[in-house]
Parts: sequence; C-alpha cells; structure tokens
Amino acid sequence: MTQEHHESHEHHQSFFSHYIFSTDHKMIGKQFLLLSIVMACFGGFMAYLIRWEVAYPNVPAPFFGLVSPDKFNAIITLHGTIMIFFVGMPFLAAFPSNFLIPLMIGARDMAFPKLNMASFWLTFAGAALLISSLFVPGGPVAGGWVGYPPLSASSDFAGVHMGAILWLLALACAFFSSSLGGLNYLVTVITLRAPGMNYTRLPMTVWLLLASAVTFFFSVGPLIAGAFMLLMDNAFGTGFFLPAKGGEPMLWEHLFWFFGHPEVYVLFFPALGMGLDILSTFTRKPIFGYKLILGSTISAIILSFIVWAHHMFMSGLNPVLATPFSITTILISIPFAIIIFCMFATIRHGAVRLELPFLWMIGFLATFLIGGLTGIFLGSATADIYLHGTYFVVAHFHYTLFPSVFFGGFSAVYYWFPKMYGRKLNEKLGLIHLALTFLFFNGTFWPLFRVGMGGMIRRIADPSFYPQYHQFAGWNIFATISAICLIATQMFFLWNIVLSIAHGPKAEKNPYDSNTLEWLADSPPPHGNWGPTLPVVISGPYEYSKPGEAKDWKPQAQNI
Amino acid sequence: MDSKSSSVNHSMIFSALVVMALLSVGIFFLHLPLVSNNLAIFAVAVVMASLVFFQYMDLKKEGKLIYWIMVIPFVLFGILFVLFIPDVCHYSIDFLKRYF
Amino acid sequence: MDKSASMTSIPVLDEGPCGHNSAPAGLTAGRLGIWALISSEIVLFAGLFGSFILMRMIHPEWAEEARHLNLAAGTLNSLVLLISNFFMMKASSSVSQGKAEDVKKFLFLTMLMGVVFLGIKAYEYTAEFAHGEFPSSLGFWSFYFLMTGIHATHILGGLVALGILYVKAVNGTLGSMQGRVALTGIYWSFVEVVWIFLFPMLYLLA
Repeated sequence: MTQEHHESHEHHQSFFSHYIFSTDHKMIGKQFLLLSIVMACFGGFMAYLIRWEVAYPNVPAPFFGLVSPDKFNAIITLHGTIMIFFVGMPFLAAFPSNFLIPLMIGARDMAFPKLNMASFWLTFAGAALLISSLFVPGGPVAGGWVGYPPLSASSDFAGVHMGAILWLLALACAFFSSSLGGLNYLVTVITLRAPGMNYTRLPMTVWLLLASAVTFFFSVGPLIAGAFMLLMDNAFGTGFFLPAKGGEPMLWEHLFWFFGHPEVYVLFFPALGMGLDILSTFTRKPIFGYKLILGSTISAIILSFIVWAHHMFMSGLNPVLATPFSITTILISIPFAIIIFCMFATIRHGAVRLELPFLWMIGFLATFLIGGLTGIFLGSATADIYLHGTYFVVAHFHYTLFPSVFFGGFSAVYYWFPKMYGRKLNEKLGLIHLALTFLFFNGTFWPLFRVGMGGMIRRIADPSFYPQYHQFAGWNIFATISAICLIATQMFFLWNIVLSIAHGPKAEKNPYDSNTLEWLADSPPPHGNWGPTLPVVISGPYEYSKPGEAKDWKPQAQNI
Repeated sequence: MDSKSSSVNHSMIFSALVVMALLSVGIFFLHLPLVSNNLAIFAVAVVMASLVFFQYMDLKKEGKLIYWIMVIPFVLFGILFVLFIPDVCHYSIDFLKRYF
Repeated sequence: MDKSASMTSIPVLDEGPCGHNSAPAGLTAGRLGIWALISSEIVLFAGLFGSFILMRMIHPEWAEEARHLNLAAGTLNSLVLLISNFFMMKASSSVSQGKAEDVKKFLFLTMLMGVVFLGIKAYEYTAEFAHGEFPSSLGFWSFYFLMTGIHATHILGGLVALGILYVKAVNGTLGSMQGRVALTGIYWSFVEVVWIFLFPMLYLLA
C-alpha cells in the first residue's frame, strides 16, 4: 500500500510541484539553502559597504557610491537583520533541520509536509518584503537591527516610515516561519522515529536541532508582541515606546532581548550538533559524554532565558538588575565550555581522517573559543561599562556567530553535499576556501578587538570625525582589506557548488563510512527516502572503533 | 470517554463558567479597595481558566510531555513579569509606597 | 523525555505516509502540534499581558480610561464566547459519537457565536472611534486596541478553520479530518482562556 502510494507520487510531479511548491523535506531544505546563499550576497555586500566607510570615510565606495551617515545607519540595520534572520536561521536552523531530521530518524517526511512548505514561503515572503524596503520612499529601516525606540518608533526621529513598517512585517514573517518550522521538527522527532530509534539512539545533530527549535518557539512570543507594538507606534502613532506619549522604551529593550539572547543559542546549537557528529565520524570515535552534552544543553537552554539583560547594561537598565544578570551570564559559560571540552575530548586519541568537514570543524573550534571567552568579559557588568558599544562587542559576536554559521555551516554542507546531490565537492577548491576564509576572517575581526579595547565605538559612519580614533585608522584599513578578501573568497564556495552539482564526481551512498541513518539512503534519497520498508534501528549512532569488531564502524540499521 | 456523562459534564461546566463570569462583574461593582478587587477578579479568572483547561481541553488525560509543554510558558511568564518590574515600573519609592 | 522504546524487529509496523508512528500512547501528531502551538502562543500573550499589567501599575489614571469601555458589551461578549465554546465541545463529542447531523449543527452554531462576538467588538470599536478614543490616544487605548485586536485575529483564524471543517461536514467529506474538530476545539478553548483573562484586565481592574 505504501509502495503504490509512493510510486504514484513519482509520476505526477510537474516542475512546479517538484522544485517550487514541493512538500518534500529535502527540496524544502535545499530551497532554504538557496535562499540563505542569495541573502548572504546582500548581507555580504552590506558588510563591504560598512567596512569601506569605516576605513575610507567619505570616499565613494566602488559599485555603490558615497555611504553617507543616514545610508550607513540603514546599511548596518539591514546587514544585521539579513545575516541573522535570513541567512543564519535558514542556513543553520531551517536547512539542516529540514534535510536531515527525517533522514536521521528514519522517517519518510516531516509530520506536517504542507506546513513545512508554508514555512519556507513565509521566510521567502519576509526576505522579499525586506528587499522591497530598499526601494520605498524614505528608504529602508535605519534604527539598528535591535531597533531601539524612540529612534525606531516614529518617522519623526528616523526619517523612515514605510521602510520601518516593511522591516517589522518581514521580521513577523520570519518569526512565524521559524515557529511553525520548529513545531514541525518537534512533532516529527517525537512521532516519526523509525522502529528501534529510541531517544538515546538519536544523533546529536537531531537533539541539538530540536533544542534550537524549542528554544526559538518558547522565546519568540514576547518579541512578536513587542513587534506589533512597535508597528503600531510607527503606523498609527500609538505611544507604547514613546516617552512623550507616556510610553516606556525600556519595555522594548526587555521584550527584544528576552528573545534576542535565546536566539543566539538558536543559531549556535545546530553548529554544535552537526559538529559533534562530524567530529565523531572523522575521528572514528564515539562522542565524548553523550548524556553530559545533553544535560549541558538543557541547562544552557534554561539559563539562556535568564541572562538577557546583559545586552542592556549600558542602555538604561535599572542597576539593581546588573548583578543578578552578570552572575547568570557568567554561569551560562559553563555548559557551553563543557560541550566544547567534550568536542576536544572526542578528537583526542581518535584515528583522525583529515577530510574537509573535519578541518572546517577545527576552524570552528579555534575561532569559537575566542568568541566564547571574550563573551565572559562582556558578561560582567563592570567590564561592560567600558566595552559596551565598542568594536569589542562586534568582534565578540562575529567570533561566535561567524564560526557557527560559516565554519559550522560550511562543515555541514561539505559533509552532507554527497547525500544532497549525489556528487562530491571539489577537494582543492574546498581547501582553498577553508584556508583563505580562516585567514581573512581572523584578519577582519581580530583588529576589531584591538580597536574596541582602545575605545572605538561602533555604529559610527565616519571615524575621522573624532580625533581620538585617528590612531585606529591603520587597523581599520587592514580589517577592511581582509573583509573584502573574505567576501571574495566565498566565490570559491559558490563556484565549487555550481561546478559540483553539474559535473562533480558521483558519490556513493556512504563516502565517509558514517553510522547515522541518512547514509543508508541513496544519494540523493528518492521521494519517501527509504523505498518500501523503513530501516529498523539496532544500535546507537556512535559505534565507531569498538574493540573486537572487524570494522571500525557499525551503521545504525542493517536491513536496507 | 462516556458520551452521556461528557455532555452532562459540559453543561455543568458551562453553567459554572457563566456564573463565574457574572460573579467577576459583580465583584467589580462592589467597589472594593484596589488590591482586593484586582486579586478577587484574578482569582475568579484563574478558576475559570482551570476549568476550561482541565475539563474542556481535557488536559488531565494528556501525558507528561504535554504537561511540560504547558508548564514551561507559565514559568517563562513568571520570569518575564518579575524581571521586567525594575525597568517598566521604575522601581521607584512611589511604586513601592503604592503597593506595599 | 520518554526513554523506553520498543525494540521491535518487525518492520513496517504502524506506518503512515510520513513514517513509523513512535508517539507516546494515545498522542497523535496533530494533538501534539496543537498543544505546542498553544504553548508558544501563551508566551506571546505573556509578553503582551505582562507588559500591559506592568504599565498599568505605573499609570493609575488608566483606570479612569477603562471606565469609558462599554462594560455591558464586554460582559455580553464573555457570555457569547462561553456559549460558542460550549457548542464547540458539543461538536467535538458529536464527532466521537458519530452523529454527523449534530456535528454540522454545532459547528455552525460555534461559528455563529464567533461572528456575533466579532460583531459586538466591531460595534464597540466604532463607538470608541466616535468618542475620539483611537489607538493613538492615551496609552490605555493603545493597549486596548492591540490586545483585543490580536485576540480578534485569533478568533478570525479559528473561524476560518471552523469554516473549512463545516464545509467538509456539509459535503459529507469530513471523513479522515474528523480528528481536526477536536483539535480546533482545543484551539478554540485556548482563545476562550485568553478572553477570560483579557476581559477582567481591561474592563474590571480598579
């Protein structure tokens, strides 16, 4: 019965239902990947403009023109919003969750395939709304991606009207999309696991993608409420956040960061999860501390809901909250440190295979460590008095987000590309991509720690206006040149993908001898993933190098 | 689920809810002092909501998973509410005098 | 989370079009989905209601503004929604009893009361606009219009879902979607709970 059902699917797929309005989780995952790549081009271009203006103030930027201060404000806002909600979320949360979860748990599709399709098109709509705001009268939103009122609450202050409204609507689309997606992933993992797939046999990728989904949909509510309030302030002149009308700007900050802090972990967990599986596969070792990592993840999620005000130490927060939030912020570094130590312990004494996904994860560990450690300085309210609003913060969050989204994300793409497209990515191009990305990433953001410590504040278009920042001109130029090279390096990746999808060498089912279920399906898996019978799971995902066994790996299911 | 008892159940719950809704309006018209009025009305609302959750939505028969899924948002509400107070209510002497 | 699992060696047991059913006993994907959705909505309303309560605490003058609300209309709306919810429960139990005619009748009555609710709300809004009470007026009115607006949007969404089920019931094609009546019932009861708190917060606070 199931076989007939699936065969009939193959015959009736038009171009539209196969590629555009697909309910197949694999196609939807690829759609999210494509969307994130396109939006990353926009976000990357904005990054180029930001760095150009800071390094060469008042010099027209090639391919754009003069970046005046009000344009600068709009550009930094769009860069942040695009990179977090239209690159980070689709690339790290939606694409892996969609593509991998059903395959890794032995399901044929998500629990709600049509809702899944709606999720993608909602993100697409949000992206379209945001891009369209570039062309409306008054220009795009310019209140910073955090959108603090009163600046963002009225066109009297920001000079932007339609742009702000479109930005809020775009965010609303992104929030609904990710909430519905998260719901889908939760229900799928609970209700569609293959026979024998206990919770303790789930790969870390699935656990941490689930953690990301759950954290998101428990945290986004207050911001949706706040976004409606800000929308009404902008569109109808209400007084939620405008002091002149009896409003309270701090309310927005609290509502925003109540979501904003868990959001950074939403972006980080998938990188951790996929990274753990990749490390395990390429060291031929089980991950160190499966239950320890799960426990740490749960404590991190719980703590993440009570640390948010560390983003507000210097923006009007009641000082009575400074100490409690400093304490919880410093505490939250513990579970993440545990997980990173577990990653190192996984590599130790492993029979390491130096393949690209593994090398990307080494890059991740090296850079994320710096980001994580510098967060501790910012988490202490007293240190934050000096460091808040400086480039130190910018360097910190780029040293955590960039490793997650790019090193972790690229590691995942290089690893699962053979499964997605049935072809291998070019190794040489991949190595060049990795080496140059690592080099130029550090070249771009390390100097920002230096200038931040020196006191240079962020979000200013023209540093030459302030005599105290002239000493940093050299560092800024160095960072800008590195940034331009970093952006250019990504062309290797895009070229590699296009080339490999078209002409890449064909990949077998399981090129890395990995245990998890998705490698038992064809490359790429057909509609329905598994053929007539589902796999029956007989062991955990980390049965590598078991003493006394002939092979150093053991797939989770045998009877395919 | 026994169909006859469930429909009798629903009618009883409905009547109780209507009575309580009217009761809360009645309490309002007693013009009690601020704290008593607000607490009493909130208490009635909590009882009504519990009836709807546990009877209409039959939350009683759902398992541990649903229990946790429903408890967590209320915990988050508590955290949000308490920690917003210093900034939104300005945690000033006035505020403390008015409520304590 | 549930750590026990069946170590079955019999494949293709209990399989639907999306995969093997591994849910805890008695829980369907749809019901889990609805509860998860409600859970996320509770956090949304927590942010909204929490903000309102806190702002209200520092603006005692809003109590005076609240007296300008039409308490009779609000009370009537409370009763209308309670009646609607009652009919929704009847519709659910009619489905489990297999009484198709009753299902149609009760779905229709549920929707009717939902529309009546929206109608009374619209009447209130127009009266308020006529008195010069707009969202851009004093803070109380901003919150009032936002909160009742979001609640009304949820009622509207519920009406759409109910409408789809009603049309299917009338055409006799409800069939495999019967379970969704109970799920919509859970959602509708949630909307009721929101009003149970919303009404006193706006109309009855001293």
